[in-house]
Amino acid sequence: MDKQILNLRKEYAEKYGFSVPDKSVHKTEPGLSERVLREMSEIKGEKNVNEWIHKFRLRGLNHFLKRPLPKWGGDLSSINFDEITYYLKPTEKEETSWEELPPGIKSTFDKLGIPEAERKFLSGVGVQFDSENVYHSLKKDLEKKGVIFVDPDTGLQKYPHIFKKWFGSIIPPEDNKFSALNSAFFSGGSFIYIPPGVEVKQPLQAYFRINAEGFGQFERTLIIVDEGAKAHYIEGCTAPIYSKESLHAAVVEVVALPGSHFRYTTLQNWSNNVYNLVTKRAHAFEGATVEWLDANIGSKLTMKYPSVFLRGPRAKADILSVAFAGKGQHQDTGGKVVHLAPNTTSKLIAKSVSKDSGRTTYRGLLHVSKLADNVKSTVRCDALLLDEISKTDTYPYNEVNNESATITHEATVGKIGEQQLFYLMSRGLNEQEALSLIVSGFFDAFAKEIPLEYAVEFNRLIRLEMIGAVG
Amino acid sequence: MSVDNFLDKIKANNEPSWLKEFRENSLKSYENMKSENTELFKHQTLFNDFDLEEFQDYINSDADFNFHLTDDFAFSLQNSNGIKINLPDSLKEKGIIISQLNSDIKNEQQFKQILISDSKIEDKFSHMNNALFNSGLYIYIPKGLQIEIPFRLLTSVNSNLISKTIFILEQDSMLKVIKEDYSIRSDKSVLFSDSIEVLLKDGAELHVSHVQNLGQNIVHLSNKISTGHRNSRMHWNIGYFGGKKVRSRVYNVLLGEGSEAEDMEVLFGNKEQQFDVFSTLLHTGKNTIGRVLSNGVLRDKSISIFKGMIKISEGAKNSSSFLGEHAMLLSKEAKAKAIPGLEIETNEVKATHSASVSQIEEDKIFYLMSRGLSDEESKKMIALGFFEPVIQRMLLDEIKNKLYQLLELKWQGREDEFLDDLDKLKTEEFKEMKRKEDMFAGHYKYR
Amino acid sequence: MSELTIKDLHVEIDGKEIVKGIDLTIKKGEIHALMGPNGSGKTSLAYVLMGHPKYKITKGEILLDGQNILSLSPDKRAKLGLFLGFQYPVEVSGVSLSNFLRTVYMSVNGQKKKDVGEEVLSILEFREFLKQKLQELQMDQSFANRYLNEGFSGGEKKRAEVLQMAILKPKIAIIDEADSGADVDALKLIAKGIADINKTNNTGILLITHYNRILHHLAPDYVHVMINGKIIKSGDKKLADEIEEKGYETLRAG
Repeated sequence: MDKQILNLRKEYAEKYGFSVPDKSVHKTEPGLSERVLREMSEIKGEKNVNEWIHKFRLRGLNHFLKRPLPKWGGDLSSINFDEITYYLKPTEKEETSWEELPPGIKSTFDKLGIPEAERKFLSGVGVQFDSENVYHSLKKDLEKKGVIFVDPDTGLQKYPHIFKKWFGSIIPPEDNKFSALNSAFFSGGSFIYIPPGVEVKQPLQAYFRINAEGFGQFERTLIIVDEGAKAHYIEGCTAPIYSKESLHAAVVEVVALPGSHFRYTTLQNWSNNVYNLVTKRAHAFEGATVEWLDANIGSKLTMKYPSVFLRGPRAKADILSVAFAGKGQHQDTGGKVVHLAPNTTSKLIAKSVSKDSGRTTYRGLLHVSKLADNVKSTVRCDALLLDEISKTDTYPYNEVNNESATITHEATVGKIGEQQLFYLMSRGLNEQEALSLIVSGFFDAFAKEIPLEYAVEFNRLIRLEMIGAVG
Repeated sequence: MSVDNFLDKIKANNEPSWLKEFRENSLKSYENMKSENTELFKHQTLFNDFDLEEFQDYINSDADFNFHLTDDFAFSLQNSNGIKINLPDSLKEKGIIISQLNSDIKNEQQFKQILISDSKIEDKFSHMNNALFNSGLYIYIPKGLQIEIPFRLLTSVNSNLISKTIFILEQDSMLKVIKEDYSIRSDKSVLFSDSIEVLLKDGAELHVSHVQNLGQNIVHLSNKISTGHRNSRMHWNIGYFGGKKVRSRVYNVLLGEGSEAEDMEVLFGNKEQQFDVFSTLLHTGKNTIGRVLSNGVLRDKSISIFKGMIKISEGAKNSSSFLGEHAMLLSKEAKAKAIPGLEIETNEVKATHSASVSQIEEDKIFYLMSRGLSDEESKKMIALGFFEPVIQRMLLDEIKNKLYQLLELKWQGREDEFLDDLDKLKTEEFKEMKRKEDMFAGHYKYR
Repeated sequence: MSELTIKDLHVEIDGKEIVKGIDLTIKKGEIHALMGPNGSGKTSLAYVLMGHPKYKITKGEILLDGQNILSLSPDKRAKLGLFLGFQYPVEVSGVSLSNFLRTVYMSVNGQKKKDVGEEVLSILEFREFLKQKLQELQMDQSFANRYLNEGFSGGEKKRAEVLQMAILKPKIAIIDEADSGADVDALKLIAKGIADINKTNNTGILLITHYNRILHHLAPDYVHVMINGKIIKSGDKKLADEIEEKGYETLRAG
């Protein structure tokens, strides 16, 4: 067993925990101010091109400075906003060939296996290194069908009509303190448009890598799935292990137009020095389906509650959130569904495991508005505590303003049954292996929903967490 | 309601100085706190706009009903003064104490202790009750005394009443309590703050059946707090039917190893009634067992917030806890929120909660109709079945029958007529009625 | 003479036709078996006969003793003497079986009896009656106090359905998959309960079943095969044996 742990530890350090020297081409001084914002805006070339976006950024900054830190959720008191670097440009321009990338960056993504995955089973890839996208690709046939998959800067320049119509409309800067921060300093991320009726069969993938120390990554994603279209987007993220804390505050806006089907999968595996404070929200119109598959394994603290506003009749939301909190980690996650139209349905499943004093919190909202007749919704939360020093909380808010709704909520907290453990050990597994197996089984509902390659990766991460090797 | 007026009256009562100081501190806490003082629930309350000034000081002299305090072992409180205590000599001899709180407070030390320890449970209206209580009762059950006959506690609320009831049960003692709240129907806004504070020593057991059938002119603030030592048992069995706005807080502390607490609540809202109910189980002792079930049926424009929290702290190994919140909405304008929380700090536990908000399932109605019941009869049967778990646990058949009658009347929107029968409930006529084989009273007799 | 007559019945749900022209007559005292593979529309037909609101009748008639009952709600049909034994009986929390049965008895039989000046069972008599019925079905007396179908096993639920039928004494009973979830012993009791009511009350029975397991214990006078919303073949007990041997496929092909 010890040998196995060592191997896995080594594997983790090699696989994710490394960093390459900072060879950025631009870097703002630490701390946030209007001056830093202007400097960044200038580097990005927004100043003369687009006042609209600059005003948007200022709106975000003003609100961020005004708004107090949330008092609920995790402990945010040790984030030092003055020591964080808010913008770091890694390369002069985004490339469409891996070979064009600087060697350090290329080797980073090689190690993470992104080019290989792209060849094998992806429709398109965008990778971000610190503040900017450094590589982007999209299969030619999809490009021909009118699919757009670019970074937001390009999106705004090339497709202003679509971009401006929706950008910031799903999550305005004032939504919360960290959406305000993102609105001020957003850089990188994805802008995706799927034209009516187009089905993107293989996933589009984004990979977010933080390389710098004491850094803030604020990518912003806007996805519009037009009528009857279908797509699946996957994001992954990792960072090196540093003693200094980094901040990741993303905003993801999704618009699912009538009859569309969209799935968003996240495999969050930040190192344990990253605060991960993310706002994700989708609007689903008539007959549309939005699915959030959200796995949170890494980070020091994650506060993230992917949400769906069901705006049209028969729209559907499906949220599956899994979390693993090991030593020093707090996963404050969950989901929100707001039913605004009749005959809408939702399902929210959350599963969490806490170990080695880790803490998981489920926080969820299920709201049925007056106008939403015949809503059906089920919520289920299960938490496993692997030892006596770990913690878990469950805070579900169920609000029903329409009598025709049927909503149910169930939650359980427990530990691994001795009988189950004994059974597996009687078949020759050691305790560690048996526990890992049970925990993998507990998360199986998630693993079987994601593409095989990711499921393998996910299961390995769980195994790593089980032996406490991450971070 | 004028707070100064209140306090002046209390001062005249020659209370000990520690109590005066306690009241003053409590008043400050009351004024500084919000109805929900945690981030988690701060928007989930119906009492943010509560204002004491809205309640006029007045004495309703023209109408009041006399309780026929026929039971031997009983207490009645009419407004803040008309107090009657029936305590049989046989019990008095065994060392049981039942006394008013604001006259000669015996066992002052224990009284002080329980007040101060309960005030640590931070709740705005618990503080208000501490500051302003103007009547109440102190009940002390000595070691080893187990009393089978239920103690009847009748309260009539026809003007502002801030009452406190303290139970101290010594080691291995047992008491059963039936608490009933009534009021004369009126359109004046009346405040009723009602705090029940319980201390259970090792092995003690208390069962409280509480039936609240106040008029819909009354704002009812109920606080129920229990602290249980080793192997103690606390049972709450509560039915909220009346009141214009009801705020209920049940807080059970499972302090000693092997202690148990159970809180079964039902509420039935109609017209424009509002309910804000919150039940907490705090497990700190090992091997403790907690269980909360809160069911509500909401008709017309009534609304309810069901809040619950199970906290299991690190030392409470091998504890198990359940929290259920279920609301049935029976009209377009009824609304409900269910927020069951869990905070678990150790793994050797079993904690589950379940919540639902729904109308009656069509398939259930169809099933009953296929057996010959009309649509309305089917709905009624299913909805009233929702109250069964609590009614079944009520002490005394008399109380169960009262509840069936009340449910029946309320189902028809005629709950006010229930009061007309109050006197009858004690009479031969009622006993006769109980025997009558009418459909309603009859078919419940089997159980 | 009591009889249930179904004439050219067409039924839709969510715009899809699932019963496509059924003609069937069940007379008092007769036992009919309606067999068919899963999804053939058997359960839908049972629901429609009892008046489930989610189905839309696009054509045809259902007559009970010559009276068209299509516009009647389920309770009115029950009062006229129609009974449906559910495949999946619904659980109703907080309503004890005895309370339920007594209410149903009073509501359906009680009034009728009063009208014709017959004696209505008093509470005590009813209790005795119930006790006896529970015994016959080998159900523990404690069932009387348990909540309706809540926590009952498959076989217990089915026995409770038979119990309800015994109390309601219907003219015509439709019994949907009487044997699902029941073990051999329970099955025998269920079959016996059905045979009893058929004999003592002369109740006409429509047994809906996928397998002919129950038919070994309860001989049908007629067997009908329903596939894809239509009765494609009718016959006597031999037809059921044929199905047991060869399955539905050969019939479908034919």
